[in-house]
Amino acid sequence: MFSFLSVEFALLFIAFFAIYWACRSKPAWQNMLLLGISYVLIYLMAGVLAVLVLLVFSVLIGAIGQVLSAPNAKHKKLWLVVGVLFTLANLAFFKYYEFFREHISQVMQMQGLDSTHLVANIIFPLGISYYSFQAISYLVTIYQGKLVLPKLTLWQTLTHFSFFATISAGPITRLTDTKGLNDITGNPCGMHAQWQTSRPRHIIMPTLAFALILLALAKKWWLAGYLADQWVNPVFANPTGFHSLEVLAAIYGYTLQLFLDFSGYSEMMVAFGLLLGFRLPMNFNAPLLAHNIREFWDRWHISLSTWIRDYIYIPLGGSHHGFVRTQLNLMIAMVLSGIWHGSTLNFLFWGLLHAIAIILLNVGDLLGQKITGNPKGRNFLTSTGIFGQVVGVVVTVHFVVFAFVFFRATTFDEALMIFGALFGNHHITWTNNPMYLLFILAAAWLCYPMARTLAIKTAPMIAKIPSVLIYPLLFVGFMMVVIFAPSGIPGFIYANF
Amino acid sequence: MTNTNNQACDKANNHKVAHVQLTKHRATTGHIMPKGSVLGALVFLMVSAAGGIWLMQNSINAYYIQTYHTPSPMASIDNPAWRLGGKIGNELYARYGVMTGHIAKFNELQVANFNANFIPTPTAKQIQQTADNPIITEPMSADTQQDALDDRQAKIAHSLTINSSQKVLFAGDSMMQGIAPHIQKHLQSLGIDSVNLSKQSTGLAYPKLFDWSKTIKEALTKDSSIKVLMVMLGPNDPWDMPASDGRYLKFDTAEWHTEYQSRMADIINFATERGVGVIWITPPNMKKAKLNQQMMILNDVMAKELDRHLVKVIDSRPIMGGVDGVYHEYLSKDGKQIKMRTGDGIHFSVAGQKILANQVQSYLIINNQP
Repeated sequence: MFSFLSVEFALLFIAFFAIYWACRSKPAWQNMLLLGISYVLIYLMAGVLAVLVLLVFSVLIGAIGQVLSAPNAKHKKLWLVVGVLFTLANLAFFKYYEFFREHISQVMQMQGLDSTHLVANIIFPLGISYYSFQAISYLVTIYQGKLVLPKLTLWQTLTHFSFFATISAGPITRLTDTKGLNDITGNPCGMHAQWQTSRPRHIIMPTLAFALILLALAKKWWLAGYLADQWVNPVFANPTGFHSLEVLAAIYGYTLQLFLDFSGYSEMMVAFGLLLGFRLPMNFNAPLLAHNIREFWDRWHISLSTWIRDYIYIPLGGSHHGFVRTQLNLMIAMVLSGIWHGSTLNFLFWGLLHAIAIILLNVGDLLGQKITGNPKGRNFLTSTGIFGQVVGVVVTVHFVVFAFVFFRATTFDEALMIFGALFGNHHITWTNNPMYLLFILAAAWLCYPMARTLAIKTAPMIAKIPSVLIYPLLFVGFMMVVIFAPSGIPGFIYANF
Repeated sequence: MTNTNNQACDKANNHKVAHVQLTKHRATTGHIMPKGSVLGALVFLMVSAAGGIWLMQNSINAYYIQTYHTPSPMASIDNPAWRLGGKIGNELYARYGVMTGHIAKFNELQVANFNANFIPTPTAKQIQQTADNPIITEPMSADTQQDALDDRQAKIAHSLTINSSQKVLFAGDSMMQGIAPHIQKHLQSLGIDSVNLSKQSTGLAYPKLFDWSKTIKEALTKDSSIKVLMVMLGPNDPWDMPASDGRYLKFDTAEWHTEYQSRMADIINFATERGVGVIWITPPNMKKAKLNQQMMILNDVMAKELDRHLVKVIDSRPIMGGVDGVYHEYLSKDGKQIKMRTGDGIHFSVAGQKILANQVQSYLIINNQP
């Protein structure tokens, strides 16, 4: 399969980059070039079905958007509902077809009916979850009248939904600036003005962009690939055959693999955006240093969690109807988030676990506030000082790590088998040295806050180093990653969602 | 009148907000965000691409062959300056190999130390596991064997008899990656260890990418307790392939058949000469018409070679629901339709993996005497 990590993509991108910037004085032409390359890449990655589904969907949503944004539009609410329902139906059909097909087939067989004519398999169109989310955001934003700049043309809308730097696995972009959704410099980054600009675009911080690509390759290709090949996949495939400590290393390793894989991917997309003159939102902000599970969701897959906040939690009433109703709204939002990740019960349970954790945190904060009279109701434990912060980080990360077992396992029984192996496999010989990985993970976790602070502090100094020195260093870094990375081109975990 | 005034007021406000938004946008994109040189970035991209291709030419050539099944156009460049890049690349990989070799050796020592001092002895371990999991399969008596099997089958069955101090080695591509863990779980429950070397996108056609003959020989030489070898390869192979002399052999020619069969024989002979039993699983039907046709040819080539050896051959086609060279996604069993394959028309669903794994493991004869 054609991949963002392939030689073919690298060469195609270089050619596109040259043509794109040759049209620098014409942003409208650049938009059309982006539309063209995006559809070509979607075709190469996922075939003609994905292209057709995206095209038809984008045209219909774009048309509804045009109706909604007309100056004297009538029945606006009805059009919004139609647009959202169409988006959800389209997403549900492709995402949950297999789940429902099996059940329909079983029911038909029980009734003695022939189920062999049900379409056997529908290929999941690339990026459908992400552009569906963008479509709902697009329709609601227009409906709410938040856009005062000229409305997007149909071509701009098509480009917004298909942009290759966001379609495969996000980040989920919005038309308008959004609280919590910021670019790499911490500024809001709504796409509406970026699509509409008539001023020539500029390549933005190219050395930083290349450094991000290098970081992304190191995270995703080398480290996540190594963890998957050497530690995670063998154990999750056959947990009964590994010692408890090896199972523990694999469980920790999976969370790290997931983080490195997805944050690496997101940073690579942000870098492509910068190289093309766009500011895309950052999707991760050191989530494994979160002090509590609420903060974890403020830092993990940010474009999804802010989307759930704005389009599920707040419409349900948010925190405006009392404590109990707030917890119920949270529960619904988190369970829906779980179901979105997949149609199996494992994902539902994973969402439920996170919902329970957030509710317990809220209850704990409330109790702590009442018992001690501490006015800082939220983040009570964190506000107690360094000890509370450390306990908070340790508990949060371990909750996240063990909950991800249900995310990774394909069935509930398989997840239980992994926990069974974790607690029961003391008598099995080692195949690999788990202490080696556990030591590296612990050291990395302890050093991570310092390394992050150092990187932020030194960034201005590094920015002053002349490009003539930075570029050769980046090249050496690229070569090192290519040599260190496991053979083969890795898949993209989140593209499957 | 009031309405008109309101509209005018809204319009003025909208203009004001629009102006603020545009100013803010310009502030964030035009002034705060540092600009860079497009030309500098383009030169860096091109020089990096050229330098990367120069250094990694051997890896790219291998990738090209595997992806497009023809020799890489770069492979014919015979310029010393060009070849130098390849040599440097190879040297870098070699140094990395030495470094990872040291780490692997360190870890092997730790593993050996832990297993020797902190895990019960193999006998104790076996007694424990036997107590936990009573042996299910008793060794067949000689009489039963003679009654049930002809001489050839009896010899094969004998070669597939394994006890708790022996191991099973898995070799294969992503299909084997799917079924091996299920068989490993079963063996583990019977107190039998296994080694799973299966690796996706591998086969016998491109040993420069991954050399199964070398890998299997090394594994069997290193670990004499391996008693059974299970192989499942094929879907990555039905293309033109380079022979040992560098020539490209066209798929489905006599030369291609001979070369492929000699690679199979090389592995099987090495194993059987060491008393290692072999189970060879041939590939199933495929959804894509062209690949399916290629698999039918490859199945015939494999069958002819396997017939010359005392190995257990498992034809996965009927097990996976395929009939007469026709791909089927579902297996009809006990009035139920079981989904056996994934959407790509190549790999197995979890149910499919389990059914094939059950079939394969049923040919192993577990002897409870170490």
